[in-house]
Amino acid sequence: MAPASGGNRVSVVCGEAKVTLQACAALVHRADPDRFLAAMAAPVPARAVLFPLYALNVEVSRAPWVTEEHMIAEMRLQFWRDVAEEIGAGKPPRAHEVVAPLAAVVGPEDAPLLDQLIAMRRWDIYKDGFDDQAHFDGYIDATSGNLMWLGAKALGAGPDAEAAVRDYAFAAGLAAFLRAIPALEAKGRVPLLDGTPQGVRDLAEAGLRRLAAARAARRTVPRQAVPALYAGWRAAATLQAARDVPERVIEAKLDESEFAKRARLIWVSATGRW
Amino acid sequence: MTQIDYTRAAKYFLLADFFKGFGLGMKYFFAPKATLNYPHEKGPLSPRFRGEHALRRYPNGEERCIACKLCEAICPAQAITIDAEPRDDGSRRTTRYDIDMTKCIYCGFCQEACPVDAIVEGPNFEFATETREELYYDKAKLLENGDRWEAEIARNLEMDAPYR
Repeated sequence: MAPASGGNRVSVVCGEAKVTLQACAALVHRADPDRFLAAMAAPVPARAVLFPLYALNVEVSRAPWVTEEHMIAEMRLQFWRDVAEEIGAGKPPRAHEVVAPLAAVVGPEDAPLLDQLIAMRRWDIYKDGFDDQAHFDGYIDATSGNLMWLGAKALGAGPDAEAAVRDYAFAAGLAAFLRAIPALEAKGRVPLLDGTPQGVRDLAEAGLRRLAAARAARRTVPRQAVPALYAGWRAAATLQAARDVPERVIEAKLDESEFAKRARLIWVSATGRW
Repeated sequence: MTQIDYTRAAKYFLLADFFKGFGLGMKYFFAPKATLNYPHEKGPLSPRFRGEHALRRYPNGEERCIACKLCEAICPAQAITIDAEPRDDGSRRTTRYDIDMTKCIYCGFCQEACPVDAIVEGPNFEFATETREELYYDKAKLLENGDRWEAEIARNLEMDAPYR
């Protein structure tokens, strides 16, 4: 699976690579249905880029949760950091169903972003809260922002699109984080710096501001890179709901109806207006 | 004058205790059995049951283990021994994967640490042997276990996935 010319890493998928790509798709389908739908709404060649990235995200995000033992969780994350390091060094990829297609998508120059994404997941292992707002923002940016930016970059986005993509990714990541708060609290975590209704409202408003900033700079993101942004299609609805009625966050009532959800995805993928 | 308990006397005369006991016996005779006809029947097992170890393969037959040695490192009983070397295609694979089942404490850390779900503790709990040597499992034995139990292992992993 050789990368195509230029910045766009969309490539022809065949043979063994197709098998691992299918494995990535199956993994995302099982563990991250929203991103699976977003990837399936993308053009077929773009899926070869998005599925390995989303599969990596599944593997990395679940690592802290598969065990109660901190050391095992650290070891699993270290495994993925080693993978990122090997990609950065240009070594042959490990014979892993996610690593092999991932190495075809992420170039050595992007390995530090990958490493940052994985390292930030160490927060999930322990029960400590965030240190301050900068720590929280950094967590969302490294996990959601790096993932979306890697996807957009692999699909051909240039450096001038990074700010808009990261703003949009921040809003998407924040929305996903707010949806996950009941589960995090059930696990004994302290997910928010300020868990009061006003604190949640302020956070949602900050997310909506970043979303508006991203949309204002929509023209900087090339059309072929837009499928990487489909994954944030639920951000606006979730953040608006959290801003209007912050109690819905802890009550796990942020989900819109299935019809509204799918209609929004169809709209985004049909018009390309994210 | 001594009072006579006629009710008790009537029950005694009509063998009430006998019929009550007989009724209780018949109730359990027809009720579902609490016991199992082991080994032909087996009790239910949790998807998280940690039994005999197995090494799994991908659907295309390729072994999953990538010789990262995380299981060997985490094993608190030091029951796992792995040797590895790169193949011709550059991928790293095990040349030796031994588990000393007499040392294993069935903590499940090996399967929790495995990034590719290669080593698992399967549902089989019937692997008693006559000699200790038979409990020194090598790679071939572990892969054979994986082939034999793959359907149930995959089902158990899928059932447990929402809680992971």
